[in-house]
Amino acid sequence: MTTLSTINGIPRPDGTDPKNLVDQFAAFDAVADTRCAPRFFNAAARDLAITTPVEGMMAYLQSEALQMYYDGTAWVVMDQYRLQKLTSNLVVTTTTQVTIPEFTISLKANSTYLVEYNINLLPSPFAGVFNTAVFRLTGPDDSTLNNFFMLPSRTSGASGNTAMQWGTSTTSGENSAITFGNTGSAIYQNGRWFAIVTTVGTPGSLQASLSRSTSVTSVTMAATQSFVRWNKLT
Amino acid sequence: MTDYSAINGLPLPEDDDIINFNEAFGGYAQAIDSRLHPRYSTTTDRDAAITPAAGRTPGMQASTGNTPQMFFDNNVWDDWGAWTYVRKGTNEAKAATGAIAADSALLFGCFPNSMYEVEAVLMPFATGTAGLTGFTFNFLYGGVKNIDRTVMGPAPGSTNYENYAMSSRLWPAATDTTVGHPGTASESIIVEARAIFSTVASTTFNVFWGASTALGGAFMTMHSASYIRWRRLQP
Repeated sequence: MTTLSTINGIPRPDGTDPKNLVDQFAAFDAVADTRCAPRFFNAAARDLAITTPVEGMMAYLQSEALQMYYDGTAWVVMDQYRLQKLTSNLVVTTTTQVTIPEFTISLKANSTYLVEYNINLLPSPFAGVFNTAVFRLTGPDDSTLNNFFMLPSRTSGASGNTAMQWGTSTTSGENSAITFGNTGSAIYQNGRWFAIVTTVGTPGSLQASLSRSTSVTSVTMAATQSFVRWNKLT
Repeated sequence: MTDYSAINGLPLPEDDDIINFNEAFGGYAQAIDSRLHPRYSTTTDRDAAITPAAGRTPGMQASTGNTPQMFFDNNVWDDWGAWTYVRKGTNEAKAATGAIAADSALLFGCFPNSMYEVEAVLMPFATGTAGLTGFTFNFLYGGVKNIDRTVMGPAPGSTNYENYAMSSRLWPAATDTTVGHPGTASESIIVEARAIFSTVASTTFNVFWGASTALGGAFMTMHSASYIRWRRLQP
């Protein structure tokens, strides 16, 4: 057992070693076992198996769908994200909230997510009428939503000189709907919406929905550059 | 085969086993196979090898080489998606000609048939004696203006770095973005732009920028703190 593999330093037998399969397997495994990408049901199972973690080790937690690594001090979540785009322009003609299918996110129980929406609203087809939309997020009833938004005002200007509205709210399950708008100019207004959603005992989904305000007969979300992206934090 | 490794549960022969080398080694190899980080040329090759029949399960990992990406199974193949940052590093001045030109540092190479997400935080300021002028920029790949982008920044025409309206809108690819008037170095404006775009050929993404109008003797300067960051999305 005097030879080590080049990359991982795994011991391998050479011709002078005694032919003891058990010992050779054990020596090989003592290193190889620590260089794999193991999977565990949860953090408790991980900690039971990896009693002395070393910086750089990885572990996947099946119950939480989290990929983690050990940074020398603690197990931390690896940057994992997902992005979904609007696939075609979404025209909404009703004052009732319409779910945006591409913006639906599946949520695990007992988890926290950081979610960011990039929303583009087409110009109003109605001359002189502000094209106002109502954007709403809905999570599981027992979840907590912290919302932060930076959106063009519902009466934002025509030339790109935009009055902004921004703020935050914390509610259970469903946030307060926010209205933002556009004018009859050729400009597509852009809004940013951030949410931190924390679930408890049951999994569910975070849904985004859109409706028109009563001042117009329709609003349209542009497919181009409208997307949602999110990271699972815990 | 009654003993198992501590972390991954890999089967190990024991002294009291009747040791069959092929059986012992084969069992170990089969168990460790799904715990490694395999490399493939393409996602097609990955999916041909890691199938449900082969024991595909959440937590497994893989990399692809043709468009270098790292994945892990999260019921779907999730991309690790780490951002790559390109920092400006040093100030760069351009004469205020009214035209835009490629930044010397804010660029990256793109693989063909790929989708990218890019964000830019640009901090221009003005120098010279001819006064201030608006800041204009665009995203190009392959030297062509073909990327729609959303931009937040001071509204065009704004001249004060403290009190001005904002511009938050989508800009069509062919139209250069113009925002407010940069101040001096200590009053750089900040513009944030983002885009998702797809490539066909192997090419380069560039930030082009300049002053919105020609002002003899004046310069627009991109502050060294400006940066872009990008990551490749799943096709």
